[in-house]
Amino acid sequence: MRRLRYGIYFKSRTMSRRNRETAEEREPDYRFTLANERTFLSWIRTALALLAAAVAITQFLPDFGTPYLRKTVAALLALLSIAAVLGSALRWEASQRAMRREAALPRTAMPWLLALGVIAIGMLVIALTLVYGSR
Amino acid sequence: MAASAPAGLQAERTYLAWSRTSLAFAVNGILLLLRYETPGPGWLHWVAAAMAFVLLLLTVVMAMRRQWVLSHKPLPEPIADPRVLQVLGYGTLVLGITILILLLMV
Repeated sequence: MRRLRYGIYFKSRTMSRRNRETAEEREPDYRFTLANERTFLSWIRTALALLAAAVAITQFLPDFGTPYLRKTVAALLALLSIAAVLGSALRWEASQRAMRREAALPRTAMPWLLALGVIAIGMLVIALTLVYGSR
Repeated sequence: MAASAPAGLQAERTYLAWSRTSLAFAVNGILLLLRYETPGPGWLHWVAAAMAFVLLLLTVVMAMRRQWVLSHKPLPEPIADPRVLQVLGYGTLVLGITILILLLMV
């Protein structure tokens, strides 16, 4: 019987309180832990790709749309990226905890949020291109 | 028991995932320093780029350390190391916020 250590790190008081109440926690198969780590890394890379897109729009497309709209698209990409980082950390911890308890993996809305965000930004970019054309 | 299974390929895949992540930092750092217009990068660009390169180095170091730990027996228990993920998570978060501020300032 060992207490979970992860709750302390990505801070959440409710989580660490819940951990203290839990009696049964066991180290999962190491492959699952590593798969969870790789999933976290994948989300981080996704966030970095969104960030790179935000930087690229402001630095390499000086003729795209108007300065204000260009800034809006870039800021939306950066915000989506920040959301992906936060989500990835919470998701890693929730999955790790579930695996230690041999419980089902928690459901997550993250893929949907990412998909909807990228679709919305994509449609905005298409609209801007149609309205302002490519000069 | 999990520790008796061969850890090689799993550790290698995890190492490669870390390496890809470090490359993503490199892309961000380079993009921040390249500019289409004539005036060079502003001071905040330098700060953000420096941050990206520091995170790149940290990721490489953590990847190598992790690879070493995972390929030697006995495997640590618990095998998860929240501290390295925490460094990466908070680092990326700070980089993202810096870039957001930078985008709004330009």
